[in-house]
Amino acid sequence: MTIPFPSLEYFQALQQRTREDSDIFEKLGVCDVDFGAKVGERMFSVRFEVCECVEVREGGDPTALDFVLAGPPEIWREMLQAIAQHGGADAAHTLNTLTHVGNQIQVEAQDAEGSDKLFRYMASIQEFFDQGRHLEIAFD
Amino acid sequence: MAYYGSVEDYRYNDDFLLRLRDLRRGNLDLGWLNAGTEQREFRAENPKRGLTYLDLDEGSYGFSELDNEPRGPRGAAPRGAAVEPEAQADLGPELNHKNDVWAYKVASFTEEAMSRQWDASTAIPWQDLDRYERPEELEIAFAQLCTFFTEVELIATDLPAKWSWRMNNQFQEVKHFIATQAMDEARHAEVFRKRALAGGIGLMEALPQAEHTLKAILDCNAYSEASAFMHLLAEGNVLTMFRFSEFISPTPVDKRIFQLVMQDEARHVSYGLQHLRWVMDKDPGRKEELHKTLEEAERISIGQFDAALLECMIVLAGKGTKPGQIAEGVKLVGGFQVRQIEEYFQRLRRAGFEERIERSLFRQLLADIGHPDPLAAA
Repeated sequence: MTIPFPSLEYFQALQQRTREDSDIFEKLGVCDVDFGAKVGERMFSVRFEVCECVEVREGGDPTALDFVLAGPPEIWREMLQAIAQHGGADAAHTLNTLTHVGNQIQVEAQDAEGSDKLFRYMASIQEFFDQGRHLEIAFD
Repeated sequence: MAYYGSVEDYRYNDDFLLRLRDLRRGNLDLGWLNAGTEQREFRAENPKRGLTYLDLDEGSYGFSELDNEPRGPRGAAPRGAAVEPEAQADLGPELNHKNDVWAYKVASFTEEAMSRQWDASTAIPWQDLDRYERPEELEIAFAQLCTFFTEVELIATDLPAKWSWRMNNQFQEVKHFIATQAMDEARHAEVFRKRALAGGIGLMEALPQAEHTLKAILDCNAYSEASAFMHLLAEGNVLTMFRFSEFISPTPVDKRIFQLVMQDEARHVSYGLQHLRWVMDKDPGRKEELHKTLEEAERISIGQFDAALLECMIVLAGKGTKPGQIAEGVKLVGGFQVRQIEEYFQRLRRAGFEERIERSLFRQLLADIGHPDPLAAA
């Protein structure tokens, strides 16, 4: 089934993947974080509790989230295509790489405590997006 | 063997031998049943998370209501156990005030640390290293970077170990956290050593200048000073280095290494931030002492310039040694250094120690390279 991106269905499909591949997430460890993914002007909120993605929804208050990953649709698209092609992010498209230099994807946070959560849970959040390797995505 | 106290030879103590014979006959004293300690049933609030320290935070076993200066115990009696302080071995803890060591959320950090442990032998896809083309000049530069990180992490392992036994055992959650930190740092030293050797180049130059900086952390007089220097400033710097190193890593295998080490490092930085925040809230009279510590720490950090470290990062960032590649590397490494300072300032703000930014030696450093004043920007 083809899933459109950006869409709530895409994030719901990733959430479902965290349940189907729960072993991977449990091995990575607890991940208690509320973050946003902003694709152009559309915002999606993702909540992880213990080792599982427990909620995804469209919208959300950025100030109530630990951090928001904000980037233009074409960068998100490039990242998702790289994940599909390589079975996970390649060297040029990991979340850290995209957020660290050049700010292709911006990490927006109210304070350092929030943004540091991206680094504390980097492997889990990377794996969340890498689960897109199992999805067939159609881009707007 | 070290001599401790008066040592009686109980083989010749008649009372003791009589009591032993009584016990063997089944004549039990059972006085310990009258410990009088609190009996509660603790359960996991969330079974998926398991039984955590936070689930135990009640009554005499809890930590939230623990006094700043728990009176009495100086030995190994666990918090909540029946104890006769005068009968305890005096283990000589120097850190007997909660404010000396505590941090907001420390019990959560400890649980997170235990849950997110990983194994450097198996969590890295070492077998994939040969799948990727690794130009020799980049591999050599990467080996130098790994040598530096191994050196750093070996000393970072020692710091929590230095302070752990100095903490009163009433602060079990903090002691556990810094024990996980020691384990994390030891694993980091392991993974960087393994990477340098697995790449075929081996270890490169040890960097004495970095060692002197790290020795300054080890030599701090008080734990809060050591924490501000190590957790907040030095590990904050290393966290940004890990992020940058992930960015410049030549292969996905190397990226995996840095994704995992950065998680541990960020947890240590978060503890340091929350400890500093705790001190700012509960013991603001220590601000001047911490200003002095961080002023010295900033001066030492500025002086830790090491050509081998910067140059290997420049070569990796520029992806080679041709003039154009070097120029690109210089530009990227310059940006990374500014980011180190910006993130340090952001953490000071969150810790409630924003006034440090005004006095920070790093402001002059930023001005020297033409970067806008962070206070004006804020």
